[in-house]
Amino acid sequence: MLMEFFTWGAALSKNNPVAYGFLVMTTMAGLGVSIAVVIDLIIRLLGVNLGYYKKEFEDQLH
Amino acid sequence: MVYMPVAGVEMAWWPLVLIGFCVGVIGGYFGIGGAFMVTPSLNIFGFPMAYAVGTDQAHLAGKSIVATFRHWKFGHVSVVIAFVFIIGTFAGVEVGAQTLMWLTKKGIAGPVVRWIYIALLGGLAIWMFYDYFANLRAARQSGRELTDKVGTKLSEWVHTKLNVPPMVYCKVTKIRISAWAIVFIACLTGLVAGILGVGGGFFRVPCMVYVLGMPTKIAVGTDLFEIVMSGAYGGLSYGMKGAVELLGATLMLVGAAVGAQIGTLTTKYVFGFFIRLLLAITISLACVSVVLKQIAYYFEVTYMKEFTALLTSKLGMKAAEVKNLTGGALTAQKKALMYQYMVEKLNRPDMFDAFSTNYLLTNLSQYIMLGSAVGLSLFLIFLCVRGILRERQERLAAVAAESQTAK
Repeated sequence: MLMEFFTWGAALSKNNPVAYGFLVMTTMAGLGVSIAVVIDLIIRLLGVNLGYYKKEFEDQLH
Repeated sequence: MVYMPVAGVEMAWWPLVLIGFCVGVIGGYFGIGGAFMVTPSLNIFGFPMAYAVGTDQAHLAGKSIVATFRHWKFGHVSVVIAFVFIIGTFAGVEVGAQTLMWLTKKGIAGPVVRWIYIALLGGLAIWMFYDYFANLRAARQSGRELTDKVGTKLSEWVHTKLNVPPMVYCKVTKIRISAWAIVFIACLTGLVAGILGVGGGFFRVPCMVYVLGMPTKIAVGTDLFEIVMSGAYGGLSYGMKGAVELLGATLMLVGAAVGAQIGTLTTKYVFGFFIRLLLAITISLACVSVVLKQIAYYFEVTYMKEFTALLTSKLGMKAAEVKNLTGGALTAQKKALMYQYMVEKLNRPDMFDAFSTNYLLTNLSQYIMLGSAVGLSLFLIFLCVRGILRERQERLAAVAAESQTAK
């Protein structure tokens, strides 16, 4: 199923390069957002504090 | 092994995930794309070079989304500066790419690009080490901890004297700065990135810190936000040229997405100055790698012209066949082929000696990049795990102290 998608993408790169460009961009962006959300949940489940923290540079900002 | 349908070759899947993971950790931590590490690493594992840059650019967009997501939550992203920066970057990259094409036409692109690389990386590394150790000495003398230093004399001048409208106010960094200053720096870094054919994050982050006076962590987050946009454009552009192996980019992104989370999370547990120190070390290693490549080029010059002439005159090879034989990556198969032609057919062992030195130095420079990517990411993982464990211990200690007070 997944391999069929990539084979279809390879054919698209030859037949319709513009559409392939958009396919690359949307696949990467979509996958990036999905993985970011999933890993965010995993990190929360591991009990890592992802909230606000005291930054060392704040005292120095004008 | 997996079959790469666009490139039409078979290769193992794990090197792509590993490279993606390592560069993801490093990119998330430093706010860079890491193309200067990805391309030689892909070459070592036999990834088709025609698709290396495009595939790297494509996965960069996805990876930067993951890293920016986390930096955003930490409050490390200045949207206004990133948007002004992107205008200058695109203009600079375009001019740089045109310059590179002109240099390529003249046949001097390789050495010119490498000399710019060496001067830039070497100069930057020396300045960053000097800045780190000068501040470390000052911190020790005053008895305070070395955390981060916002601003330099140059950035103060930019903030106070360069009041050319329109002025931009950045809420995150609390700085008011002329948009022209940002556009100028973006153009300059974009120009260099365009000539070198890389993203230029390793140059942009120090410029944001030293010239625009941004805190290190905000420079890292802001640069990553900018890479989301430039990476998406790069992915689209290379995709339209058919130079992206989508399966390869997806495998790299899977590794990079996990790595980017670790790298970004690590910035929470270290001080800004420590990020600068590690970036200086990375830049130095990259500089050593390019120096080795330049020395290798000098060995290549000693035999290449005569070798191509002999291939045509003595062996009757056509120009395309000669290009096919002499061009491309220096792999073990290429070395065996060169032995066949240089020693067995042309009886020129001196040429093969020069080729062997070129082969050794080129591969050594690639292994330095791969080794530093793996070593650095392992060290960053260690820092991240140590930070998480310390944080947990502090939390448990606070809970225990609270319960004792309640009793």
